[in-house]
Amino acid sequence: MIKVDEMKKYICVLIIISCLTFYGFAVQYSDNYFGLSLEYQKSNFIDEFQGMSFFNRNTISFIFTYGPSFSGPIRFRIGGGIHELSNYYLNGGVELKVLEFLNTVKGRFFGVYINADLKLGLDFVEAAIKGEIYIPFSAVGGLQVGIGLNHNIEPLFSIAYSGGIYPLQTKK
Amino acid sequence: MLKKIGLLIALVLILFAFSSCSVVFQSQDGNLGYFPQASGRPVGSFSESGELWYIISPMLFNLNDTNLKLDQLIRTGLAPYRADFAKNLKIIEGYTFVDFLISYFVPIIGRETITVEGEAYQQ
Repeated sequence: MIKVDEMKKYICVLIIISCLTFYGFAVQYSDNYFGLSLEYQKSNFIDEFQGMSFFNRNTISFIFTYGPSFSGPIRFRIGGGIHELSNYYLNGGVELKVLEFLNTVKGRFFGVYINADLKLGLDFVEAAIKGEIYIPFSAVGGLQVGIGLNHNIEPLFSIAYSGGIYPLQTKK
Repeated sequence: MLKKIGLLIALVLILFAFSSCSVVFQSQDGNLGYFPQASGRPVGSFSESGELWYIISPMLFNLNDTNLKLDQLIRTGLAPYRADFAKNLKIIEGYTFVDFLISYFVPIIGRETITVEGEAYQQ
C-alpha cells in the first residue's frame, strides 16, 4: 500500500515537471518549424545502382520546410534543384510528421515523415511520395534517408543533409 | 575490421548527437548561488542573451565559454537598475533562426544562444 502511494507521488511530480517544461517551451520557443534540406534523389535505383550509374535519373534539390503552428503535423516544402546536372526545376510539396522527438534545444532528435513532392521544370516533371527517417549528428542537423515511388510507379531512394528547429525567440 | 570501424563511427555519431545538445552552465565569480535569506526591493526584470560558438559540440571545443560566464550576463542585466542581486533566474538555451542557418551551413562550427532571465532586486 505504501509503495502504491509513493508511486502516485512520483507520478504526480513527473506530471508537474513535464507540464512546467512544456510551459517553458511554449513561452521561449517559436511554435513555427523551420527546416532546410539538401537532398539527393535517385529514381529506379534498384536497377541503376547495380550498373553503378549514380548520376543518371537523379535530382539534387535544396528545400526549405516551413511548419506553421496552425497546420499541425503538416509542413510545407518549397525549393529548387537540378535534374541530371542539366535541367533546373522548382520543387513544391508537403511533409507529414508521423513521429518526431525533439532534443533540449528544440531541434529534431529523431523523426519519421511522409513527403509528397512535385518537381516542375521546363524539361522535367516528377511527382513522388516517400517515407523518410531522420537520424541526427548534431543538435540541428542530420541525415534524412527515404524510399518511395514516383508518378511512373518506379522506386526511388533519397538521402539528404537535413536540419530543422523551433527557433529560440530572444527579446532583443 | 570493417565491422569494428563501422561500429566506432556509429558510436562517435551517437556521442556527437547526444553531446551537441549538452551544455554545462556556471559562473566565473562564484556568485551564482542559492541564498534564500536574501531580501530586498524588486526593481524590475531583465533578459540578457549571449552567443555560444563551438566546434562540433559545446562540450568538446567551446570557443567563447558563454555558458561558463553566466555572471557577466546577469551583471549586464542588473546594471540598468543598479540592482544588487537577482532572483527567479531562468537559463534558456536554444538556436535562433540565424544560429540555425550558421550551424546548418557550416556543420563543424555551431552557434547557439543562451538567455538568462530574472528579477532584479536592490537591498
